Amino acid sequence: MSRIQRIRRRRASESLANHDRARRLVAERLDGSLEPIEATWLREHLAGCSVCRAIGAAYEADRIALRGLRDQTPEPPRDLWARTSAAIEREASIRGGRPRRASNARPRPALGVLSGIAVIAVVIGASVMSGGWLNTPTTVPPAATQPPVALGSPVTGPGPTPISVGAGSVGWVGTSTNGQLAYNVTSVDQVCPVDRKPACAEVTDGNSRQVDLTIRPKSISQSPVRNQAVVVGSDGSGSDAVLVIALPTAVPSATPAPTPTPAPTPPAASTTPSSEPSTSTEPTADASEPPASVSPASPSPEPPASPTPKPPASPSATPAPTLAATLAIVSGVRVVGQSAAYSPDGNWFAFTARPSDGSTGPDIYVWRVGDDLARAVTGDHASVFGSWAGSRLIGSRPASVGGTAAVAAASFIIDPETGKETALAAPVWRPVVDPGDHWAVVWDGSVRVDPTNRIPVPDKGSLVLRGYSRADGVALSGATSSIADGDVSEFDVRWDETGTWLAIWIADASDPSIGRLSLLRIDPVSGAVERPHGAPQDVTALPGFSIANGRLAWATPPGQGGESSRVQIVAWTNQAVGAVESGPITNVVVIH
Amino acid sequence: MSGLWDHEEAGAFVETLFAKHHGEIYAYLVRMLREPELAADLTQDAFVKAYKNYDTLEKPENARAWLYQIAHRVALDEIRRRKIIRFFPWTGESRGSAPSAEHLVMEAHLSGDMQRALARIPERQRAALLLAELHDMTGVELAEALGVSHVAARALLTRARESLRQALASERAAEAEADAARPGSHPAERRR
Repeated sequence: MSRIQRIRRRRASESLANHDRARRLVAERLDGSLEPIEATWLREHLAGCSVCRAIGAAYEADRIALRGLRDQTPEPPRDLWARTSAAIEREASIRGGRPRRASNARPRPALGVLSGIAVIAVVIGASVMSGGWLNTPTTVPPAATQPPVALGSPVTGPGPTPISVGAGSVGWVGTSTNGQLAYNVTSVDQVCPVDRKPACAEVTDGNSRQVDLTIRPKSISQSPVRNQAVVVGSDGSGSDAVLVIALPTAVPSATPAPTPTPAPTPPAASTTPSSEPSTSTEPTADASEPPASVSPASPSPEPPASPTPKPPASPSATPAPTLAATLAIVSGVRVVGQSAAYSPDGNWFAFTARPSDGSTGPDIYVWRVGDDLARAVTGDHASVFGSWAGSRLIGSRPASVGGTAAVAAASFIIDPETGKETALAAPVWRPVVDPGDHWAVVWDGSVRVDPTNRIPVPDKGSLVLRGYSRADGVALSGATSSIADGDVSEFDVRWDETGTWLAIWIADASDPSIGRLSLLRIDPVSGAVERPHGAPQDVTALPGFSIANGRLAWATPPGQGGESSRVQIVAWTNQAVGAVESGPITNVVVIH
Repeated sequence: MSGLWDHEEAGAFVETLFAKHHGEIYAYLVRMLREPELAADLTQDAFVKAYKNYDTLEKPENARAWLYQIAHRVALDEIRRRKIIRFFPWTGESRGSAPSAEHLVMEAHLSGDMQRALARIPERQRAALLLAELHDMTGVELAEALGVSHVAARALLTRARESLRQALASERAAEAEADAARPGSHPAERRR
């Protein structure tokens, strides 16, 4: 090798090393300042090296693009704390210790079990007239002899071998033995084989929370993504109260308090709930939540002539900032049916309602989270809400309106944002679409208008599973599977989040306050309907059930002999289905 | 904080830690593993490990980095166990809510190449980038979360930027090639 060649090679090597050094420095420059000598060297190198300049620019552009992902922060599952705390408790028991349970340590929410598929604190205020829907929750002292309501994991003493179903929870509101309404969330991670259920201990826990509720809740829907729920209840004046509740932060997110929570204040008798010291555990301001300054109002004593929602009357009380706010989103109406639901993204809540004076039939209402009031998106007074299909809702109405004779059904999709309505070709009633938009349970038959309340109801036909696509809607023909037929006046169908399990509640023809509930498994590919061993079939149930996270929960009707309702919980894995139940509970509403 | 391992104290501590950091830990694990369900399970594992290893936290003020280090190891263990990271378009939506088609299209358009590029770079480099750029970790905290020295963390981050640049360039080139080869790739036709 000649001297010139050696010089050239050395220079090439040095040049390469210089470029490597420059690229390292331009990267390091993004993460902090360089030493002055390095900064000077880099500046000089970049001045004469367009390639390294371009790479430096690319690093900066990539960094901006990467930081753009901050806008897509994923939201953790709401039952994460329930799962985690259960795992920690298992770990503690292995080690022979027991971590502090928040609920045991001080009177605050049973955080260890607050979560999941149905969590809500119905903390309703002292008086409707005073505007105090919401009041401070208090912890129910455990009853000396029997907890007011069951809570917690099944006590598995001698008896059947439990089936482990992972961590999850079920929530409800009911009247405790002391006559007070109590809010309960039970962690259910083990169940018993269905045929051995009687030998399986009831779910127990003494940490239910007393709530002061001046309306009797009929249904409670929790937002899938926010610390928020909608409570529909009867106010005793003939109208329904539809309240949005901003839940305490710890409850719906199922996250424990970062700092000790002050003891809840006893229920206030005044219109303004008593305040708690402000801590980071309290609800955070969120534009999506109901305005805290709006107090709920009693439904209008004079029913409106039209079902147009009226603003809450006389906002007078301001909930203390430390408490969840409530908002009455509609007044002067009666909520129809059981189909009310949040949209999958949690941005909307849809329900069917008619004027409480019976002047017209029902329309579909939507409430956008953050708005003050719900609004009607139909005006024909014959429409009912079926389900959500992504961000749009599906409704149904009789194909012809005006008489009481049986007519064909018609369904349509509405964009809640614009109100734009698109007809579905298939003449079906109230399609309930699975989360993946593959299948829909529909009433395939005629409908008629009940002359007593102007509500359209199924007439002759059957409930079937049909194919569904976002583009084409319900398949025009080819019912995949018949699910129920006969005398179906009212039904409530809900899918689990996987779209492979669904539960169907069908009201009793003679007494719609009770019905029959079944759990079905759907083959997501073929649409074949299975009724797995142990899954409830046609069991008697009160309206309102929850299905999510591998658990179905419902309430049994009170017994003829004065026996109270019980919450029944069926949970499943890929291999087995099991069940467990609560103790007796009066006036129970399962949260969904 | 070493010494007697107090169950109650550890439980209370982890409960507080969870309240403060579970969201970001979950987000980090989703970004690392790209499977929300798995990330939820691993978040749970991380906090259980935090509970079990409570006595290894020497300075409470370092709890965040300590927790990230646990989560980081949990993620790497999972990646090692599976040897492969399955890629799914991440939509940032929570469990149980189906992303809309529009959302997916937008997602793929806006950040699909970045997501794919991130998935292509070595996991330790990916972790360093995510922690630095999305989880606001710098200097000693970043080093602690990654379980390496300050110098090593800085070098890792530098290599990560170069790896990402190359991966992005590769992704964009492949995307442009696919667009060019696709029938009806003219914008007017795509709108139909």
